Amino acid sequence: MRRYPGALALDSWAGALLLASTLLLGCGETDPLGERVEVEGVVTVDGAPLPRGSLILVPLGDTPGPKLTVPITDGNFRATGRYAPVAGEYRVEITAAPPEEFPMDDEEAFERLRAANQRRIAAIRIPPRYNTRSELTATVPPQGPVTWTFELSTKTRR
Amino acid sequence: MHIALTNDAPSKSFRHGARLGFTLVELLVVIAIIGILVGLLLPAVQAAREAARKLQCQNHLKQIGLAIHNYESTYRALPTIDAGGGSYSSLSGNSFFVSILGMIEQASAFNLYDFSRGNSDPVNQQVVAQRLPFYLCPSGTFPRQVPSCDADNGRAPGSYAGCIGSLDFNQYWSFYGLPRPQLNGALVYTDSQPGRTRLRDILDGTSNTLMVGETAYNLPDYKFRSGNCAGQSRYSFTYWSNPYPGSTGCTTQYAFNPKDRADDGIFDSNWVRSFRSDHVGGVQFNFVDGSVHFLSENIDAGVLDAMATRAGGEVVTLEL
Repeated sequence: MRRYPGALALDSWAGALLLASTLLLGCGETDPLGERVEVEGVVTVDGAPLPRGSLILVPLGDTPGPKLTVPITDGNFRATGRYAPVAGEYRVEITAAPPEEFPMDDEEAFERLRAANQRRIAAIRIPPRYNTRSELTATVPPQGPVTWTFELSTKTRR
Repeated sequence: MHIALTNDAPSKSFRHGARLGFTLVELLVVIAIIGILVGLLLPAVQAAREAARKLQCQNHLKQIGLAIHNYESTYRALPTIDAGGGSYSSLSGNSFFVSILGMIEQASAFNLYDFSRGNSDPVNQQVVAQRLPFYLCPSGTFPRQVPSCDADNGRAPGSYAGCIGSLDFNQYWSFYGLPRPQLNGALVYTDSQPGRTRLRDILDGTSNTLMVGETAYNLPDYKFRSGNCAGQSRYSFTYWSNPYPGSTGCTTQYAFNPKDRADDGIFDSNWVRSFRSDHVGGVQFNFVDGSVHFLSENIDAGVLDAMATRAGGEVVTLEL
């Protein structure tokens, strides 16, 4: 077989291309759950922004995947990238973080409370109807971004 | 010594005026081929090593499950996440990992531990400072020395936590003026409703209910709040002797197997109380029947919650 002067170069180019595509194969990360949709918004409790807390998205019905938690700071929350939900129906649960002086991992808190003879902690208490027995639902459309506003009330309903 | 190539009878390559040995190009080609082969082999070897570590981790969970069953046969009840502590709050006492020490061939450590004192008490230091290999997952990495900070209180880390169910336990409930929290998992806190579980309470079936799962030192945005390390990354709250929620009691109420990237501004403090692992793609769990299964991190929230509850009445069969 006769080889043309450019033949070798062409072969090595094709080889390099093949090698590069083999190496790059599998680098494109695809999310097994689908396209993520960016969600942001505001949470207020009795009209005031919730200083610190969490928004929990619980997939409902055919919506795939595990729960997502989105931190809330000064009433604002934003879920992006792999922390964002995929399209579908969600139940929304909103919890308030414990006060700054009594974090959940403070092992001296009980001793401090006992020493100060303190029986109550001033904390924002969000009623169970917004978290463990939540009736809030939200839909994430296939295309984002989405903005949600949740206005919670700690008053008992009539 | 008579060597053919240096013989005066010239070899074929010598006859044509060619050289002995390799050219640079030949050498480079050989090195490149070896390089590619090693490159193909290395990930496979690493994957095999991780598979072995994961299996070992599974074995540790199995041992813990067996120890809990031994405890159950002795006391006719499952251990509570927290116990002892004497006059202190029960959360200052010991975790169920301390309660089952005698059942996991650590009788001397069990006898040495003073159950009337807290887990951070200097008297118990000798026991709680031990890095017990069967309480640590070999896949787990420790990005910082544990213990090294004030808040560590000299306690050794752990990689496993009991499942308290699909609801979190707020340890400040009485200070919030809330009723005693209901816990729906296989293992519960003494200060909850009910304060103790027995095997007959696992109405969903022991093979459908989670008992012990994994935690990991993988949360770089989780920081120390006080002590000499304030502001530094704490990575995890898990010490095997500490019964606090997030230490050896975890829930499925929040995100499952959260992945935290350092300083990306996204961190939920509740992630400390979530089951998580350093394995790829999921978390291993010991079920109440003693079996160990790997649950994908993309598992549907409803299925995970159904498995976390002991008497939810859900019909869930684990697809393996």
